[in-house]
Amino acid sequence: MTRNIQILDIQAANQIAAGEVVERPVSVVKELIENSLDAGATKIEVVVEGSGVELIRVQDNGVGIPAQELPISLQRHATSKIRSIEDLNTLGTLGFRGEALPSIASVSKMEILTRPQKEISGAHLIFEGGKEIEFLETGCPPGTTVIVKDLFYNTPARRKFLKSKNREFGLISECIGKLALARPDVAFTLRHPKTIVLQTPGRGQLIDSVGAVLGHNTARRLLEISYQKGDWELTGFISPPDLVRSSRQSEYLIVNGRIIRSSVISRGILEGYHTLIPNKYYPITVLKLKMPPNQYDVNVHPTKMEIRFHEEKKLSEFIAEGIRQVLMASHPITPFSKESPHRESLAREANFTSKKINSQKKMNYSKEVGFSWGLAGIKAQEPQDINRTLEPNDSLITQDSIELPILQKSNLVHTPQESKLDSKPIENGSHLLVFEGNPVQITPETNTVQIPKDTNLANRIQENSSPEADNLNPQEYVSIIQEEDIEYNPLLRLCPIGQIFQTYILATDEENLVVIDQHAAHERINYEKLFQEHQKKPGDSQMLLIPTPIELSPGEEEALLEYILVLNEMGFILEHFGTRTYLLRGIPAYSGPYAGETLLREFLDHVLTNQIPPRMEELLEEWIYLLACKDSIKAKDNLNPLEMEQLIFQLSKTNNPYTCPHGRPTMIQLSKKEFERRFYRS
Amino acid sequence: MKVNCSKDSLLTGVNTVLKAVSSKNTLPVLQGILVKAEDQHLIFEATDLEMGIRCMVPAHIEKEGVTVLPARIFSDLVRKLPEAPIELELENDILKINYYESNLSLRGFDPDEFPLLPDLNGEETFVLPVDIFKNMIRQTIFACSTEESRPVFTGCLLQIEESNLRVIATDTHRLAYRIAEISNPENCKFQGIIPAKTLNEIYRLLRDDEENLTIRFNEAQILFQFGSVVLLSRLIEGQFPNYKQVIPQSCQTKLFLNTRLFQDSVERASLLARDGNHPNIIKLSVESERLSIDQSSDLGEISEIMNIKKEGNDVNIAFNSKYLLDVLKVIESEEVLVEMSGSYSPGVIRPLDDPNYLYLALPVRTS
Ligand SMILES: Nc1ncnc2c1ncn2[C@@H]1O[C@H](COP(=O)(O)OP(=O)(O)OP(=O)(O)O)[C@@H](O)[C@H]1O
Ligand SMILES: [Mg+2]
Repeated sequence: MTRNIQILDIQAANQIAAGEVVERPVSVVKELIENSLDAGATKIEVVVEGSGVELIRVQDNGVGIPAQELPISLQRHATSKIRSIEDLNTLGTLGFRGEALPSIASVSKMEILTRPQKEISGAHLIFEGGKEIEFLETGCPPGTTVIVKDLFYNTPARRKFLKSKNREFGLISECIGKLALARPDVAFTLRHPKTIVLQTPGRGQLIDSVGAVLGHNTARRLLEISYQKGDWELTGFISPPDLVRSSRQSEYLIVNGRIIRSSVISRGILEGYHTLIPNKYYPITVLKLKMPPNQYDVNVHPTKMEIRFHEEKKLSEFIAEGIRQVLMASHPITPFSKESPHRESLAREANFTSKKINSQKKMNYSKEVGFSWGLAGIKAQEPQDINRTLEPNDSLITQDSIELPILQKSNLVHTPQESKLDSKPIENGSHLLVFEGNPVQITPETNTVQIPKDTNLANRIQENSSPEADNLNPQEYVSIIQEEDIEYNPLLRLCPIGQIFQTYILATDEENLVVIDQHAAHERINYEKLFQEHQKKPGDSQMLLIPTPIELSPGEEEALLEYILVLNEMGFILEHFGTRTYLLRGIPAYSGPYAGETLLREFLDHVLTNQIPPRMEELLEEWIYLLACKDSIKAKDNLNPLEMEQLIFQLSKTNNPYTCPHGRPTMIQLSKKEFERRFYRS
Repeated sequence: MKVNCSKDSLLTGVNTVLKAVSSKNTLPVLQGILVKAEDQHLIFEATDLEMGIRCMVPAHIEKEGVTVLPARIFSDLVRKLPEAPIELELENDILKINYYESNLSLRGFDPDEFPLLPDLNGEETFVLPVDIFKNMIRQTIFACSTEESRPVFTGCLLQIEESNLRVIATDTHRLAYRIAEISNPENCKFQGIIPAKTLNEIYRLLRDDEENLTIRFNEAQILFQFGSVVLLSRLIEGQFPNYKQVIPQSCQTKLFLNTRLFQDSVERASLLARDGNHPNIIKLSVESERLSIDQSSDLGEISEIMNIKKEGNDVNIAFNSKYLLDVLKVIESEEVLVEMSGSYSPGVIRPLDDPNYLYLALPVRTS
């Protein structure tokens, strides 16, 4: 990083993507900050006036530029960062073209004040429209300050092209936000011009930056992700499935410290959330990917925003897997309330409590023996878990209870007018529950979620919140006693109480009342079953007596040739026939109701839009949805207790019991605490 | 219009033409049945513009007339009428149906809007024996495709050439071919693709006691006349593939199988597929004089063994079992001949004692 500045050889310079470096004020900010980062700065302060046209000042505490090299740094293709094009493969810096400073200088009035750490004085260089005006020795703090005034003063056309002041400034703060996410080890400050718009502490904790950029309330709800495979490492934060946005805006990707866009990773993200969130909604994700730099190519886009990965399919699968794991571990049950989280509700009151479970059916919780259900399982079977003790039952039902150590979940937020719960005792001693008031409606943006959250994360938010962040009461975070490695499935604790409106199953784990949508639940069960069946199907091929000729566009042909082996494994047998014409001689034997040609074209479309080949199950997904729906019990189907138990049991076995294949919730819950609050018992 | 007739006559008329009533509601009058009183006959007509059916039943006509009645209601009504003398009377656009003391009335469409069924008079005419033709339909029609994207495969090719009558159907996965010898003194020539729907209707309407069926045709349409029924259909445009090219001329393996035993074995082997959502793929392996038919799924495994007569090589091959069962169901001969050439070439099935039928199924290439 501290090599001398030299001019790149022309060959290398040309190979590097040329293009418009300075399009608008935000481009200046980005280039200058990147230079500061490359200079090893740990503190970067940005001051912007107006839209940035008036003034942009970036001050860093980096290595500085030796006075004698300063004029060279303003020459085109002057860089200290690479020497030849090969260096791109091991690139450790953000800049490499040697274009930013000269480009900015040519369209503005620019000053650079810089002082290498060990020098006693610095240099001051003043430029106007790319021409040197003054160069003098001066006193200044170590590091570099670049001041850009009157941007585009000599290119009025450019100026006209700019958007409103707010919009341009918005882009700048967004850009700094992204850079702050990429570099939590650097303290960023953005002033406009006096107020602090964004500030990160630079303590190396990603969650600080996430809080500063996305808001601390949002940050608190995010789930931490950490996933590794070979030399790929994925870390960061992702939103629970009920915290979604209607655009990709909140998708942040950082590859080796560089903020980028990548359709491959975006796809992996959506795949990870697939069927967990409704269509056309996007999760909030801050993902950091570490991978050897020789596994991707940065030099594909002039603003260095896009990169091309060598193993696209594998990467998107890797991302999806990592995300899936975190989501599934978070047991995302939709709670009852649709209000946004109150401060209190966020407290994780994680007490290690004993919980009674009604062993009405003598459920067996031991892991080895598993849970007995169905007709056979109903018969008495002694619980074998060492953690439980048998004690005389004090509940209405004269059965044994088991005590299990479990995590008590946090209480929920409520909106009183939303759902009133009347409890009318009826003869047989059980309770009939009646919901009044508005039907509970869950909308993705507004509802809250209750997740057994990673407490380390919570602790970190608490410790590291920057001064501007809302103060959190440390007492809100009570450390969790690590649960013994009893791997438990919370759904297995649910005991059905009854059915209401012939549509919903009421169940309880003695801690929460859970309402399960029987159709949605069954749909999820069937969907996963069918989907797995399809995954297992071999790539058999029904050969065709009369081959179907298929004409392709050049793009489609390229996609076809690239993935001809994948197609073959799926069961497509293709033969080249003429210019961009192929004969389909065999089609996948298990292709549902679709014609071979339709599937092939869908495959190619998919490749062209997503850069990755789809799997057979994905091509058939619409049909699988349909089958799953068709096979499922409907609303208004009467269920007997045995059937309800079975349904809950099967649901608990699914990969994602919490939403139906279309992303709607299968269950909502109301905690005991919440009941107590509403009945004013606390 | 004023007519006296029996419930039976009405029912015959309605049932005969009902299948030609349009299911689309683009042209409301096509959702009706034309009823016309003329010459001591009641004439019923329906069409969806692809196919049209006309049927004549005897009736006592007091006054001639014509109307178009909404098909669904009219046919339901007729079915529910008592077995009694029935009187139809048309006044303005309203048809009154009187029986016993009761009466009901039904508003009709304007008959002038109803499309005429061309008679194809003056076009080329040919007479076919009913029993042969019916059988030809039965043995081929199941091989038609239901896929609308490639229309030529949704019908059967009908060919009249010298003294040969051929019907061929294929959905590109299999092909059924039936040829019959007929007398063709005038050396009439015809070639056209008849929609499967049309042939289905003909098959349904042809009565076994009928002897002959007259066909008349031009470039675009074909008309079938039998008993008191006339059925007109459009021909499917397009080039039917050259079936002669795809029928193998030689083979490497010949199996001689008892038709019913083979069918039973395949049926049993097919039972293990979980549901109807997926094709049911079974594996056939021939080793010297033994044929084994295997299937395995989550539900279990089955291995059916048949002792057979074989000529030529051993072979392993997989088929969608439906493609075998479909054909075994329509072959009456006691024995079938199955010809194969390796795992990836079509399997040919023929009745041993009938050289006029042939069926070809493409195998599944298993991974
Ligand atoms: N804030 C800074 N601190 C120290 N050195 C700097 C700073 N800004 C620029 N330089 C020096 O000036 C050189 C030219 O910077 P410039 O941004 O034009 O090119 P680059 O960063 O090498 O490549 P790119 O055009 O891709 O940004 C850099 O290589 C670096 O040596
Ligand atoms: Mg730079």
